[in-house]
Amino acid sequence: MRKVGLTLFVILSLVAVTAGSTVAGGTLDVIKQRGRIIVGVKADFPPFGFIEEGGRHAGYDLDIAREIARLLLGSPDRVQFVTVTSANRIPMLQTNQIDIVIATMTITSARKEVIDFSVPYFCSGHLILTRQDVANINRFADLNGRRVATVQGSTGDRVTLALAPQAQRITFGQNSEALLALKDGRVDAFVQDDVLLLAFAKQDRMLKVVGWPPQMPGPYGMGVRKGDRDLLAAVNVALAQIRSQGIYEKLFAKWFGDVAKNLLPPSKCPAELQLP
Amino acid sequence: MAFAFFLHALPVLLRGALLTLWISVLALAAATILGVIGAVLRTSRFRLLRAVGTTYVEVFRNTPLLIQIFFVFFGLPRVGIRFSGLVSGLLALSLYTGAYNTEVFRAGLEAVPRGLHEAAAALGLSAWQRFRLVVLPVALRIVLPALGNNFVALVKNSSLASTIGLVELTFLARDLEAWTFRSFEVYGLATLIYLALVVGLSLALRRVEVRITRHLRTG
Repeated sequence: MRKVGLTLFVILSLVAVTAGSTVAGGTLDVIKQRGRIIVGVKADFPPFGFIEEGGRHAGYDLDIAREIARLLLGSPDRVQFVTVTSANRIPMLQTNQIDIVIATMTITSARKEVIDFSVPYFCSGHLILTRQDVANINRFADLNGRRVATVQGSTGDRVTLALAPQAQRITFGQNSEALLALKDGRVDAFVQDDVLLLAFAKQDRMLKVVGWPPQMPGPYGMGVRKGDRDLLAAVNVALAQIRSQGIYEKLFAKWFGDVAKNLLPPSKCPAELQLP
Repeated sequence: MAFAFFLHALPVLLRGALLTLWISVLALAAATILGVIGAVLRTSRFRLLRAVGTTYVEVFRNTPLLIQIFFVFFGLPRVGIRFSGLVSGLLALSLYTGAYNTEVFRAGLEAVPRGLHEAAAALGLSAWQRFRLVVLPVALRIVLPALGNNFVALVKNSSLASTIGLVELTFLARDLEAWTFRSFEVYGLATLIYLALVVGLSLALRRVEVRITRHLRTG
């Protein structure tokens, strides 16, 4: 037992030493010196970030990131993508593994306490994806007592808890796994952001989207480390330029053209999503 | 502040540790039985049975456990076989660990001296009696340390079951991290709980080892 105690002591001392050496701000300088911005994007969230047939990463968030690289560093190729999930995107940012999160992240008050957000760039509410053969699920209240897939760390998980507290939530790490669980009949519904579920329903005739209108809307923002003011200002300026140069509309039409009529206009979004 | 967070996180993680323990105990029992059966097959006189045992070991030992878990949980329903998340996780963990146990038990069975087999036969014991009363107890004593390693690996591998929605220790740690963003505290605490589980298991195994050897000495 004494050996175990000694080992523990050594481990904890090592941990204490490394914990003290956190890197300070100035990410924008680091990015300019490096000549490359490292962006956390999704790979399981069409049409924002997904893997195309053929294995290439693509999506709206990636296109926006390339535009930001063009405006900040002079070329849309000066960007490096790192795949993140809903659960690990903020830890990835906090541990300096990425410079910025552009990964369908809703601005919430809890997240604002630990990271800083850019101005909103998309407005999204929550809907329910279910199968054609599932009866009696039309509204969020109908989810009570049913088996519902959610994704760890997503707002959909918390929205389900708030709007259908008696639902039996089964939580997965990725959207693709939650979708598979719905197709396999392991769950009766899957709650997530409206734009994603519309994309999934479009790919599969067995699925349908219910729960209109989209519930608990919130704006997507890009996340940077707390206090990274230079980078945040540069990103906000870049977003304004993307808007004024008409690129925003072009990309919106490219990725959301077919579902645009079902999406919430930015005016429907509060400044941040209040989760209970 | 940090202390208040620990008070909040500890009961949550301990609830997960309970399921981790439960999964581990059930899979440990199943993997032990699978290991004995596999070893008997692999040391059989019949070529077909040996082939069955070898195939089992090679398939489950040479593929990633995560793929096995996904295959059982997401793959099998496509051909009409559906297990719950808990059963899927238990099945994959048991089969995977059982393959490793098979090799350990096989080595143990082969290490039992020939003379012991012959002596037991000379006493007029039937084949089943020879196996149960003489060969298996001796083999068990030989394999216990190696078996213990497999059991420790099993407890740690059970964390992969979090990927199919089992709310065990790793799942709750990741969930807490996703909502509180306190990676250091959450994973630090989860590490200590895993350490406690595995050290506890090792101590328990040592007691079993002592008991078995004592039984052999006095018996």
